[in-house]
Amino acid sequence: MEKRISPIGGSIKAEVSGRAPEAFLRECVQQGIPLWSIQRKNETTIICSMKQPDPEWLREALTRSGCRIRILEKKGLPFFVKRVQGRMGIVIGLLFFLGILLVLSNMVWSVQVKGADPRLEAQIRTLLSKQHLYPGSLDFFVPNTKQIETQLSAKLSKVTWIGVSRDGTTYRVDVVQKKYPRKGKGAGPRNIVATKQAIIQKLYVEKGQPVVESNQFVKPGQLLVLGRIGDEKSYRFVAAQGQVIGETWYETQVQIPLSGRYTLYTGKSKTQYRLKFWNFPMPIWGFSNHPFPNADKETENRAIRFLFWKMPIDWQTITFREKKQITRRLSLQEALDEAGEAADQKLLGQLGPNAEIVSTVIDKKTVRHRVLFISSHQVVYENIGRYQNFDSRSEKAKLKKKVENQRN
Amino acid sequence: MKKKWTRQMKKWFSEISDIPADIIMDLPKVTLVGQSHLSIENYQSVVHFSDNQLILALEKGELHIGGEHFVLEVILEKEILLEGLVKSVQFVEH
Repeated sequence: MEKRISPIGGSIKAEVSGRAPEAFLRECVQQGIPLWSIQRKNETTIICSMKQPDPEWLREALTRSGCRIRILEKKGLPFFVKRVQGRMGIVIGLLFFLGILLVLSNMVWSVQVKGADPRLEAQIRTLLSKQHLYPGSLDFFVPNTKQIETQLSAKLSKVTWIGVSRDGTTYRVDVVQKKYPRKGKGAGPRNIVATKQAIIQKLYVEKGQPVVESNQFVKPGQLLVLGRIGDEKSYRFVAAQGQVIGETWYETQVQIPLSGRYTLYTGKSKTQYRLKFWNFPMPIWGFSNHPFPNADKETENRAIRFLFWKMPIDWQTITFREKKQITRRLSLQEALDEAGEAADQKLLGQLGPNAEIVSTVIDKKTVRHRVLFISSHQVVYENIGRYQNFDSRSEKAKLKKKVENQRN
Repeated sequence: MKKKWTRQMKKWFSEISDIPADIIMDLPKVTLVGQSHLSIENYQSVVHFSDNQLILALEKGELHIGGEHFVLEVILEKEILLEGLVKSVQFVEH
């Protein structure tokens, strides 16, 4: 029944005594003061609970009914506030303590990096601290683990796989490092052979004996640099080392639409921060809900934690990125230029790192349904050599036979 | 005279309409749940209250409730709620 009484107002439990305590009850009812849990203690006394009455009225009502009151208990906020006022220090301390606990609950306590050598670990830690992830940073400012993963793997070349996970206040970064085979050392005797049909342009031979010349036409699999030095009688096997640049030819097909619609980000963005209580958002920073007429919206929620529990309060970051639609129309000449470039890019993507396109010639061009189709051929200078190991013992035997045959 | 006329009017209205008589005519409504809970609506005032007796003044006469271990759960202007072991409910005319 106490629920009927608003929790804001205080209530009292009192002992009313007099010749006829019922008279006091009647006074209360008349005044509209709710009463509850009324018990008769003895002939002259009743115990009752009531809403905190106005003291002036109470005094009058008591004289009218000829009763006396003794307050046994005071309940409710007004009394609580009064009591608390005397112990302000404790209250402030308590709030301060809760505040600190809240901050500490949302702090990153440790970042563990596993599977990285010390140098890489240091590198990872500096990259992480640029993204506000270090022991002692607040959790709201740390981007989510997926973003960290992509950022890290984009910047670290020595890493095969990187995984970031969060467990409460601890972040774990698991790293699988690339293991390179030891270079040079241990490479056995080998030749360099051609991988493609080409015309030899240049030969950079560090070790071995070149068997082809510039401007010579070679076929795939043809020997380019021999892994043997000396003549046929006194020789030594070596691991051939070097680059053979050959001229190769490619044909590429590319299509380019003459008009198209594109969506571009303009680069402008606005960020809004909010605290979300259950489903009710409260903006903290950035109040406009539609800063751009055309924008993409990214929402990220971070639950605020208290000790081990997630509270129903979220720290929400909303980023609006302005975008615009562009209709592009190309003239035939522009489209041709672009197609040529696209063809070169497409080809370079398929070739090795040191390939160089020397010339591009567009052979065929057709426009169908406002799409330009071109077919072009390119002349490329690239490394056409490939190492091919051989067994030195069998090679020796072969040579021996050859020498013997010559002798015979 | 006028009061009597109003009363007649009310009685007539309650008879022809479906609205319960206690609402229109300010009659007390007594609800007893088992022997333990008793609620009285439309009472006038508390005349006497003790551990084993509650006397309420009604518009006409008094209501005597007897029993044991009485506790008044709530007293509001129009409603009163009694808890305890109710043994008798009696209307007493003046």
